[in-house]
Amino acid sequence: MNDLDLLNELGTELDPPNGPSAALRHRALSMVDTAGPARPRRGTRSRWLIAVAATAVLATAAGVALATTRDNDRLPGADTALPSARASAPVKRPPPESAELLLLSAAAAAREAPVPRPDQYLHIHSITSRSGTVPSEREVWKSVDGTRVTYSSNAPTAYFPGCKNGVLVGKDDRPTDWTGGCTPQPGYRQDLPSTLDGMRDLLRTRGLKELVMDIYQPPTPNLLPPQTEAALFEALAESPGVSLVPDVVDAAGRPGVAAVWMAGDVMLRLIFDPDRRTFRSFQLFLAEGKGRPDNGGPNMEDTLVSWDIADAIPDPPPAAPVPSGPARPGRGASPTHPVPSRA
Amino acid sequence: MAVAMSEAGTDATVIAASLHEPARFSVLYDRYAAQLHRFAYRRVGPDTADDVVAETFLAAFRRRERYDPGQPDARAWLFGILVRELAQHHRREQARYRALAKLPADGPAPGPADRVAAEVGAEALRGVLANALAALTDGDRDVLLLLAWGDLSYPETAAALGIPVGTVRSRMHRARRHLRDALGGTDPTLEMDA
Repeated sequence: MNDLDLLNELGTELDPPNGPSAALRHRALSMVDTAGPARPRRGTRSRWLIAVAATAVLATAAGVALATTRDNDRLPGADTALPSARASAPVKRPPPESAELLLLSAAAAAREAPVPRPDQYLHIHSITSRSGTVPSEREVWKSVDGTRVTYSSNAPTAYFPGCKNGVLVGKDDRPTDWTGGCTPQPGYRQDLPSTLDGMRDLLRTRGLKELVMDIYQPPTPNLLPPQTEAALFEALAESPGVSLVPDVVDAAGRPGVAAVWMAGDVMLRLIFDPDRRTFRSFQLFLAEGKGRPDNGGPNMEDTLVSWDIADAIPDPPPAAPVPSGPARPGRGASPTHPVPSRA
Repeated sequence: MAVAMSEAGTDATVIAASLHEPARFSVLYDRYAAQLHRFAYRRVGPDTADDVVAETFLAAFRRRERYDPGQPDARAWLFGILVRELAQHHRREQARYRALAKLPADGPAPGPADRVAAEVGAEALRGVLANALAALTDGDRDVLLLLAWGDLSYPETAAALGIPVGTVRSRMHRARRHLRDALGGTDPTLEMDA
């Protein structure tokens, strides 16, 4: 038996149990069903003119786009202009073969996330759960570029000021009476690398437990930029000791697939949508006998119920006074809130 | 080279007809979806195979105006598109091979000692082979697998990848040498026929 015989044996072992499904046929031919006859091909000059015109139309369309939603009922990237197999319909996926492949799928899904404009908001719906306490559900609207006010549905102070041109501003961009200057804090977390090499280095430096907890247990709900999230999952896919749990449930009661690590006396879980592989929840379990709840559930859980892109904070939101001073740093203040500077 | 032909005509005929009647393009799907799906499934697993095959046919449909009507058989063209789609998942593919290499052997069924030894040996070789596939360069792996798993000829592989046949030969030679080295010099035999 030579190398090619072995290779063919391996290929046979890896063969699918069935041929292509009816669902795949439907997806693959989705354009065929809707397309009209092809138009005659144009010359180079015409194509250039069309490309320029199309770019202008797309740019205009982007300018007036309302909101892009990403939640459990829509596919990431579903607003893309060109038909795409990935965006055509939710697809039931078989369980991943390993945690490593799950995380690489999650990285691919992260890269397909819609990207908001700087003047929009990230609307994040989350549940925070700590053993022995009542789970806390909240919605937050974060200014993407940090120049506008942030609104939180259940914070003691509903509004947190934005920072525009070095001036702390409240709702409707009205300047506050704070005159000490400020630095905008964008809605996405900005202090993490967006490349795999960078994330590998960070993971090596900080350690898996510390990094994962830092990212997934923020004082307020947080989102990573798509490239950063993808780099994180790719780096985690390379981490030793990661294993797969194919059937878990998050704080919102949704089934998911999880990548799991043992880190000292704790177990860390990242839960993903079983079909789209988008991130859903972080769970931390203490070792049995060291404080794990009697029901076997997690000691801490931070679940991303959904997120989407909004053009404005809710209207009409509950009445709240425009802040008269800088946000005070501390547990109650989001790291994404503008930081007054005294320089 | 076997030309796909039926009442619907050659692939080139089908593609040309689909310019006026888009629904005719489904004939191409029915001819090649199983081959492409099997190839993709082997390389990237169930999780992604459907995605890349669907994207392949969507891309092929969009590009059908540019198909060379002088090429009656579209198999190499479709495999070429598929390989480009798969290239976006090369990390996943490598991970699949590495995961395969780590899988524990199920354990041979009880039987004569020589059969048990052969089964254990085959399991070990599978892991070595999977690791070797993961370590190949993308270009070498594409050539090797199009020839071995895609059943393409050397000229078809060259057409699919848009490279000269001589490059296909040199990549195949390098890939096989890598596999044989990894396998510890397992019976190097003849090259595949073009």
